[in-house]
Amino acid sequence: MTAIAPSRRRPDLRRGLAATLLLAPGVALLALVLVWPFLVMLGMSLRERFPGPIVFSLAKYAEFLADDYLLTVALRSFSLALAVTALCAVLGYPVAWYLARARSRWAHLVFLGTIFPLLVSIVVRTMGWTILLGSEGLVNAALLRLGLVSEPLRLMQGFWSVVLGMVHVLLPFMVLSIAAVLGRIDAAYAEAASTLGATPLRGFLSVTLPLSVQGIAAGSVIVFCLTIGAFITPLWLGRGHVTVMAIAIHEQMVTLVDWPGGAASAMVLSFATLALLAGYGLLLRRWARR
Amino acid sequence: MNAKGVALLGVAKWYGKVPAVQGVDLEVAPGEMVSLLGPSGCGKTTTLRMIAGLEVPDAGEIRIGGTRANEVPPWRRNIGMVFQNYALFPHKTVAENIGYGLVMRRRPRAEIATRVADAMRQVRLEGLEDRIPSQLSGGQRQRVALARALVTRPDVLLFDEPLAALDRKLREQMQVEIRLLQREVGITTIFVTHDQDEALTLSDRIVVMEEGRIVQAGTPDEIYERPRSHFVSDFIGMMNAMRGTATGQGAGGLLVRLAGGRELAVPEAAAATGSAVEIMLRPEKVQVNPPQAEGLVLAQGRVAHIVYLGAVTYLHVTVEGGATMLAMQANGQGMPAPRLGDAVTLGWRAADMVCFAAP
Repeated sequence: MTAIAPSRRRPDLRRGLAATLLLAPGVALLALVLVWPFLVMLGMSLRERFPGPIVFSLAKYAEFLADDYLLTVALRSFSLALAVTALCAVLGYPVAWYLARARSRWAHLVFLGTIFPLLVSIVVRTMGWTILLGSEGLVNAALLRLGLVSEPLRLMQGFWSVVLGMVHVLLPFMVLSIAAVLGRIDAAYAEAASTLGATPLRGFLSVTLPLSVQGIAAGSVIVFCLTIGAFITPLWLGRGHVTVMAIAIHEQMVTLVDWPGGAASAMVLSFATLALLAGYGLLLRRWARR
Repeated sequence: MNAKGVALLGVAKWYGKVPAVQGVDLEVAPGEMVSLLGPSGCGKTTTLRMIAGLEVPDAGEIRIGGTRANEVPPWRRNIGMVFQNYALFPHKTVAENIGYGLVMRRRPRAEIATRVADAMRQVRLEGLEDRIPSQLSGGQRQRVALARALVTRPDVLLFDEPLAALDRKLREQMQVEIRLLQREVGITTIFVTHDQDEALTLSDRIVVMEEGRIVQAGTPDEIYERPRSHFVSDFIGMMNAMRGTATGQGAGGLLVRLAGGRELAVPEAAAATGSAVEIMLRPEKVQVNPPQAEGLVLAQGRVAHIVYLGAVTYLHVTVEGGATMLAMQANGQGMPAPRLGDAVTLGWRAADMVCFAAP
């Protein structure tokens, strides 16, 4: 190799060029559809009014922090994302465990079942939940017919029906993230723990769980971000009773035509999410190293 | 130190319809070091895992210290095990890895600290307490695994191919270290290997396995000098194999007519007259141009190939009848080294031959 290449810099240069070329389309697309709109929104949030003369101020941020309605909505959004993420982790871990460890021939069916919600359009899926949970829905019809209730229960319109719908959609992301990490953990670690006197539970808590934390973290980030930005599911399953940030921002921009206000809300949401995720990552890393 | 014996009585294990271990009987005395030797898939690892409790036998009984252990889960067997790739917990430091078994046994913190420190001194790892496994060399990982397995003072120590991941030189060094440590601690030890040298150096007794069964068990020299089957002799060390037919008992032992027409008498051998047999002879037992030919079986031949290995030289000699025999010569003993094409006389003692039914 050295005989052919006169200097060592040329192959390196070529490799660098190849890497640049390979990265370019993706980076360009991200810059175009993510970074550019984000910067536009950031600029918008700092303006006093739009359309109108360009005056930069932090007025819209101050308004947001003084607005009880928006603060309540923000709190609801984060509670929703937190609940959905936690539920996905708790429900998803055993499934991921099964997918990663089981050598059963049912494993691929479970896998298919896991990703199936992703194959169905969000509209169909949400409608499905409406059919099940609505006051004329299947569950209420069954309960009425059985005489367990005398009038339809309000299963829809609540915070938890939105949680249910979101968990249903987002569970696969959690399961696949955790399963990918679990599958790479050598089964010998758990065996070593057991030969050293660890019961299966203590072995799991002290070895397998810390080693799979990265999977939980990755899954949590995906689920959390998708929930915090969710629009359709809270709107439809909440029937207007579960206003989250995405809905509020939509109201500000489309109904109130307050673009700088909406942009400020969006910025608060984005940065709060980023800060929360950074803290979460730090916490998990510290715990796993314990 | 507490040392308990291990006994396997008719132990068998199937994976689905495939038998992995088929009726193994084995007694390991307290403090003894026994190796399970065989090619991959011979059931040696499954046997070890059953002793550890990681697999449950389908038949038979496993006894540790005289009591039945079949139903005892691994975490209550009080064993120490060193895994093939050590299975050190990657998220824990060296000290945490070694202390893990003590934490699981809920020992007081101060006791854990002293015992971990002692164990680290024992395997010469002082100063590496706070490293994590990925920052250690192969030999250091091996030592951590060893310390982790021993620190709980187990009744039995199990090794699964402990040295397979190390390079040759380190492997030989670790073999000696493990043996010294094992003697010092006096712990009953069972280890699995496919490496004959490892088995020969480390064991009080070697158990050779083939297709889920024990084919021969004995001290290293018994296994090496008096293999009882083609499989055992072929698996351990180099061999000259001569096919022939048993023609009956003579004054010097079993008479065997070789394919080339020559008849040899093999002492202490037996086979039905007319059956196909195989005579095995270690290359180092074959002398090249023996100074004293009396009492030796002799063969004339020509050097066809020479393999120089530093300490020893292997000569491939084509003898009468066209067969090739392998002779090993120690170098540096002042013996004249034959060259390619030289005519040589090979000689060996009849008692060095072993004979058994041809495979």
